[in-house]
Formats: sequence, C-alpha cells, structure tokens
Amino acid sequence: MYKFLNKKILIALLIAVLIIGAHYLGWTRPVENLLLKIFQPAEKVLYRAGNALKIIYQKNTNQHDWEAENQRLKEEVEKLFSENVSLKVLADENKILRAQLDFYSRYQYQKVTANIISRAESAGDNQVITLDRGSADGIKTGQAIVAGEGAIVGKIFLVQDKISYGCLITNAQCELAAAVVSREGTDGLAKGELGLTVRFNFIPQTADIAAGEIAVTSGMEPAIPRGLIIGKITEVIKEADDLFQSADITPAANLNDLTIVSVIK
Amino acid sequence: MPAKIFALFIFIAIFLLQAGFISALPVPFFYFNLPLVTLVPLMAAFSFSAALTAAMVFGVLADIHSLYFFGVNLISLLGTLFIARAALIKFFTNRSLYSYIFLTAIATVCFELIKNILLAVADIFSPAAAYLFTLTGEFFLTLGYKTAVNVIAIIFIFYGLNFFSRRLKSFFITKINNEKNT
Repeated sequence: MYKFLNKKILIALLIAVLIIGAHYLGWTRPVENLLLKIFQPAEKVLYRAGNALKIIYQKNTNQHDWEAENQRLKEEVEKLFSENVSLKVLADENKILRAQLDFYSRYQYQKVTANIISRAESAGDNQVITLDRGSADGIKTGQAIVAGEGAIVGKIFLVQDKISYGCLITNAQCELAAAVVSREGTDGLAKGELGLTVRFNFIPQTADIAAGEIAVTSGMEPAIPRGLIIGKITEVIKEADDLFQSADITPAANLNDLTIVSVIK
Repeated sequence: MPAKIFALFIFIAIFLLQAGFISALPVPFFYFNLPLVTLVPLMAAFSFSAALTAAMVFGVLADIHSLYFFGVNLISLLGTLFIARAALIKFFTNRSLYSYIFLTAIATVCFELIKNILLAVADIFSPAAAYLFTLTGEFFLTLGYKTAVNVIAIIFIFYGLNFFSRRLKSFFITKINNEKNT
C-alpha cells in the first residue's frame, strides 16, 4: 500500500486541490486568461492544419474524380441559393412587416468574427466547437453561429471570458426554432440527428411543405434572427394520425471544414 | 533545471497538439488522446515524478479549455495515473510491449470512466454539465474506438522509443558472486 500512496502522490493531490480551490475562488482567473491568450494563435494554426488534413482525407476517401467542376458548381449553387433565400426572406418580411423593414435586414446584423480553435470534447462525436471569442467580446448564450453567406451552423451554449462553446446544428443537443421560407404556419423545432443531419419536428399537419424547400430560423428565439438558412428539406415525414409532421434537412453549410465563423449579436 | 523547463514546454506542446490539431482530425484519428498516451511510457520507462508533472500540466491546461467544470480533467488524469501505476507495480513489467498495450488500455478506460462518472455527479448539481453527457451504448462504442486508437499509437511509440533509446531494451539479471570477486 505504501508504494501506491507515497509522498509524491500526496503532494500531487495537495497541489491539485490547491489549484482547483484557487480556481473556484477566482484567484487563478488572470493566469488562465493569459494562458488562453498566449495559446490561441498556436491552437488556431494547429486547428487549421488539422482541418486541412481532414479535408484532404475526406476528399481521398470519397474519391471524387470531377472534383474541380463539382466544387465550382457547389460554390455557384451556394451563392445562388443564399441569394435566392435572402430575397425570399426579404420579400416575405416586406409584406408582413412593412413598417419595420430594416429591423430584420440581413445586412444589419452585428457580428463578431471568431476562429475555431478546437473541437471540444464530448461523448461520441465532435459536434462541439470552441471559439476564440468570449463574453469579453459580447458573446452570449443562445446566439447564432453563422458561416459563409448566412447559413447557420450552430448555437452558442457556454461562454467564458475569452472563449465560448457552440454546438453544431447536427448535434442532437442543439435545437433551433425553424420555419420553411416563404410559408406561413410552418414553425417547428429543428434538432440535430446522429451528427449528420437535422430533423425538423413539430410542424403542424396543416402546413404544406415539400422536399426541396428551404428551412430557415423562425426568429422565435430571442438571440437568433429570422431568415438564417438551416438547409434544404430532403424528406417530409407525414403520418395521418399524428398531430405533427416532420422533415429531414441537409445542412446548407459544410460543417466539416469550418475554420472561421461569425456570431450574430 | 533547463531540462525541466524543456520538459514543461514539451508537455505544453503535446497539449496544444491535442487541443488544436488532433481535435480537428476526422474520426477515428479524432479519438486519439495524445496526453494520455504520453503518460504511459513516461510513467513506465522514465520516472513517476515526470508523469505526475505531465498529468498536472495536461490536466490544468485541459481544464482551462474545458466546457465542463474545472478540475474534471486534472482529477481524471491523476486518478488514471495512480491506477496505471498500481497496475504496473502489481502486474506488469516496464519493458514489454504487452505491458504497454495493457497499461494504455487500462489508462484509456479509467480516464473515460472517471471523467464521465465525475460529470454524472456534477450533472446532479449543474444542468449545464448535463448538456452533452449521456452514458449510452454509443459512449461504450466510442470508448472501444478510443482504446483501439490509443493502443495502436502506443505500439508505434514503443517501437520508436526502442529504436532511439536503450530504456526499453531487454537485459539479463546476473548474480554477482562477491566471494569469488574478492
């Protein structure tokens, strides 16, 4: 027994208790913030290197022969898709909220640009991202994380002084108030499924929706504005004896190659 | 002293590799736990004090970055190290590949279990901790993947160490006959 509980172990335990105690008393906060600040550039570079390797790995495993053409078309589709949805959302808002035309304007959001510095630990998957911005930059719980041209990729769920954590929309714990663009009475709840897709639940049976339509945020959450693109509906699940119908959504943004995102304040 | 400072920088670099680089890699490479895998040869082939220092550095840095409560990584790593040390003293040698494989497997399982048990306890007091943790079949499947990836990594590390250092080389225990020599 003396071999297992020797002096070194007892000293280590004592130091661990002191460190944890000092943290909860707030004494180590400046040191922790300083360390985070020092490490962030290195983590950013390492994250990008890792992410670049991931993209190469995925490309090789997928074996796309017509990769360049596909990429160009994808970018074009994404651009047109975003433009189309933006116009639809603006038109819709114009009709309903003429008096508050500028209130929901997509170009007046206050954003904080953040780098992803890590994929945080979680059981089973890597559907949580760590951002290098925190409460000191005005980030709050519940705010939307957007990538590219207005596609929501996740939601902030935990904020510290210098860093914050966001769950990706494909995370089963990530829920968003959603609606189908340009369709009234389609409000529901989008929730991640299996780390791959998004399930759009609680859509009223009376709502008329179809595959190919675009799901956006409904604006029912205080920190998330209306009209951020979630993705395209791929399948509608409708049972006659159910109160609600549901749908599967393919996320608009590629969640695998995220490096820089914006948080809408 | 300079050697200790150099070792500290190496520990920090290992942590940064884990937090930045490895966390961005695709599955199954994402499951690789470099700090944990570093602790095993450090404890078995070098010194327990070095392993304790490394565990403290990795634990504190991981806790600063962690979305869970502060201390969970530090306690889990220290607990894992103590269990692995006990296993090494009781059951294994510090020069065989099989020992390293079993110690890594034990360390991975212990680390994940201690950490998730602590999180489950924290879950009672803080709803934020419950946000992501669920002890399901998927958790055990992931644990299997993590163990496999770490074990594969330790095999490479073992052969690497064996190539560059004499610490893991086998040797004969010879009895010195003092009477003859004198």
